[in-house]
Amino acid sequence: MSTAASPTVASTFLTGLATQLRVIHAVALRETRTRFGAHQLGYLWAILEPLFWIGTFWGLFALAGREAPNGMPIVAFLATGVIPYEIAMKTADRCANAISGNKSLLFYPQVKTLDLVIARGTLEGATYGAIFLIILGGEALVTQHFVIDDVLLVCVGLGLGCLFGTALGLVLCTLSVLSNSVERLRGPLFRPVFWMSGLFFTAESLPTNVRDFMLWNPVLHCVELVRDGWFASYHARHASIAYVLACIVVLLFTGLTLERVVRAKVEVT
Amino acid sequence: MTGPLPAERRSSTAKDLRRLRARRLVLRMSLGVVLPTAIASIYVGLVATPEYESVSSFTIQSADGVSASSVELLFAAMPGSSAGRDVLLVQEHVRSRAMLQHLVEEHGWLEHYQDADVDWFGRLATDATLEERYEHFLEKVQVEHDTQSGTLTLLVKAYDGDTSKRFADAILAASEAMVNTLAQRAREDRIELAQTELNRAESRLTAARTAVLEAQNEGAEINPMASAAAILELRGELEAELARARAELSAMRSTYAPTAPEVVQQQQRVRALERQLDTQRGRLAGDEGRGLSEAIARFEPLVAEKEFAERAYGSALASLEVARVEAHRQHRYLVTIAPPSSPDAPTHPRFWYAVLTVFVASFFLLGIGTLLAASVREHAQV
Repeated sequence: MSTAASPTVASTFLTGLATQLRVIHAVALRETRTRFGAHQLGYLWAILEPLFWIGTFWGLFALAGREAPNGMPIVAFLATGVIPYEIAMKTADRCANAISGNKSLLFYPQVKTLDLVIARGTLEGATYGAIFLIILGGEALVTQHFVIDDVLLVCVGLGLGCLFGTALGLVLCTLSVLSNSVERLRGPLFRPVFWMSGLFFTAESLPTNVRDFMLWNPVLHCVELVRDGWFASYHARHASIAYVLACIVVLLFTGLTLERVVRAKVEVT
Repeated sequence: MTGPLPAERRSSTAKDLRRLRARRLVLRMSLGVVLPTAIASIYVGLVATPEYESVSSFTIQSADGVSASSVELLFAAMPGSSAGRDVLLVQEHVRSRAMLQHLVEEHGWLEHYQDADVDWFGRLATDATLEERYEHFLEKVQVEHDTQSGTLTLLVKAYDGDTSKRFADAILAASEAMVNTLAQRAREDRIELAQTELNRAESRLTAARTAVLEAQNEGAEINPMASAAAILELRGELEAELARARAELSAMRSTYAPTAPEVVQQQQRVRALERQLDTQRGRLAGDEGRGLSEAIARFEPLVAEKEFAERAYGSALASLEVARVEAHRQHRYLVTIAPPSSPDAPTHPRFWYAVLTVFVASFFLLGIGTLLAASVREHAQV
């Protein structure tokens, strides 16, 4: 019986996959229009925001007379901190709003809640990946110096950040269906992460006990990995791909299970 | 008549479906969770060669005790604070390929880890390249830096307790040698510099002294300045004497006849004094440039140079002393806080920890896979 069923299982899976990819593609395209739809500069804001942060911290570093550690150029140091942070936390933020922002789309039977989250996660990942290249490429044009130590590690760092953001967003998004106080709590919970993710310091430069505490934050690991890959002079001794993966697996499992639980509630409303 | 039959069949198909689903779930669970967990427990529990871990901690202490300052430690990771930097240097040294080379050559590192009794997965391949050996080395030897206390903790894993202790001892000894060489070189450099400076000052002083002596030999004047002073004094006396003699002469002329023997005698006296005065003046100013003032002009720079050289020699001597003290103060010691332990029980692999990790990880991964696959499949149902 199982031999008779297997081709149909495989073909259902493939048709399902094709439909899902089409849906994700369509939702992602729609998201590009709506993400900055209300603003005049549109997508440019996606670049301007990290640039604003880099500029602010650059100014602060200059005022304090501080140098980036381990001989890293200051702008690249800040960019490799800000963008991996944004790729994780902005994705989580956007994915957490995936259902509330696109509720009308769930009217179509092909569109599932998971698709909305995946579409937003993919779009954010692609957006910030592009911004990463644009900002660091711009920096390279100015400084006439462009050497990447380990491209693959940079991609791994950014990819893990994006995956972590999507998984966290999925959990928050499903929880927000159960209780609307989750949305209120998100801001206060996310804010400390900004200061704890190594945007303007490295794990290496922290005292041991502070570092042991900070390393619970997976975003810091992503930032460290990206910096390790980008700069030949920096080695992220404390960053662990396995830890970030474990966080992603736990969050993804929780999120996917929760999605099954809350599914009925979403579709009713 | 047609009613009950489909209902019965429906219930039976539903039951079949449920049974099929249950069977699929069991199959999936056993393949995805039970199997990996079983494999892991068999490997960890039966196959894997137990590892013994030797722990030791040490630090680099300088003689002046700077490494204890808390402000220094705050910036311990930054270059410039030498105590913190020394610890990092040692950490780098322990993790270096040179250390591996040393262990391979003198302590039988490869023989131990390539031993045939070690399980196949854990064993270091006999044809391992240098890079593979180095990777393996970094797995077995870990050195952690505690920035707060400035200590290094050395963890060495080996397949028996004595060997792990032996390797740890060897690493500590090599690190100590490195620290000593480092301190020695810094010290020698410093003292050597001060010594060269002293030697130069010494030769300068000798040259200045010789120059003064030669000048003295040539001019037959031990100290022209002193001679000049003496001559000046003599001249002063002569001048006073002359004035007195002239006054007496003029007094005599008013009372005696100009040819009186007293007057003639006094006149001769005045003349003799005048001659003497001229001679002395000649000695001081010198005709044809061989007088005392010329000798002074020749002597003066030589004497000044001698004085300077003396002073320079004194300060060079003092700075050598300072350098000696300073170098001694900057001496670095490798202080063993806890000597390598000799473990009597294997600590790795931790059986329950490893098995539980595999169980939880495979369970979660299977869950994610199933849920994702289900979500894909339900798109096809529309």
